[in-house]
Amino acid sequence: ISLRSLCSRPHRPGRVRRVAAMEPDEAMRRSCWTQLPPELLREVLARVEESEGWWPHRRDVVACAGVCRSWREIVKEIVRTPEASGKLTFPISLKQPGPRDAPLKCFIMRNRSTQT
Amino acid sequence: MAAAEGSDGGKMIVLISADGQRFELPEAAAKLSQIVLYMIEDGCCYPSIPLPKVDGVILAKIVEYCNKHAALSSGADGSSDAASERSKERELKIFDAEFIDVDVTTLFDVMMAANYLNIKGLLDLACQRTADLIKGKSPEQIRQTFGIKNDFTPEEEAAIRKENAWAFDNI
Repeated sequence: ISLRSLCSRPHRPGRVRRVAAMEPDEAMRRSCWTQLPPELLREVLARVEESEGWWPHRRDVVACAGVCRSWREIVKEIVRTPEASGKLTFPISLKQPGPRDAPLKCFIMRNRSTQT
Repeated sequence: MAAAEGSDGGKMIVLISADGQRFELPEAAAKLSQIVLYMIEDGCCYPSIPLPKVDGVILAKIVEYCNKHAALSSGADGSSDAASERSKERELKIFDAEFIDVDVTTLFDVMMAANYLNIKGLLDLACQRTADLIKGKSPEQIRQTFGIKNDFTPEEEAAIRKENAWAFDNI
């Protein structure tokens, strides 16, 4: 026992210093949300999507799509086309003509504060 | 031990956290977790139920949630008139709001535990709280809040920013 403890003792202060320098606790805390399983992230993002149907609040959905790749992927899956949902989300919707046979052929956003 | 009776004569269940802490709670409260409910039904709850994925700090919170919700669930105390139902609902709403007003790390742990233990009400609460924290923020503010790394290439990010410029030009 004494040999083991003698051998291991000198390592301790070094390890503590390294730990303090890297702040693994802090690093782990900051990154725990990146470990969120996709099905839970989808639950969360779906709530943002459902609750914010209209601009300017709708931009919360656009913000989620700009956080990182995994968030963008899920938001793109959740958000339905303007034809299906009646909601405008991504600005790209405004530039593209709708399908020929759909009742909506293009989308124009009105700025309520400056336009009537 | 797990079959012991509580003060109201109901059966008590013992949950053991990953770090070995023991939590005793009424069976009605423990059953709010689907996974615990199945273990009770299968007779796997004696003398206690180990929950190796939940540490004591978080399990204490979960137990607090289950105790409150079981105590105030409809008909728990035999009263069933509309006025007392409404007042219980109000009390639960206030409890939930205070309960989930925690830092984002605890929120994450509660959400993961609620998912693992399959406590639907608590999972809904945690997901909704997270959604509320996201609202009104720019992508960079969201990353900062939740400690998420921006993994877009500079080209992708420039394209996204350009595409979204008008959405964020006034926040």
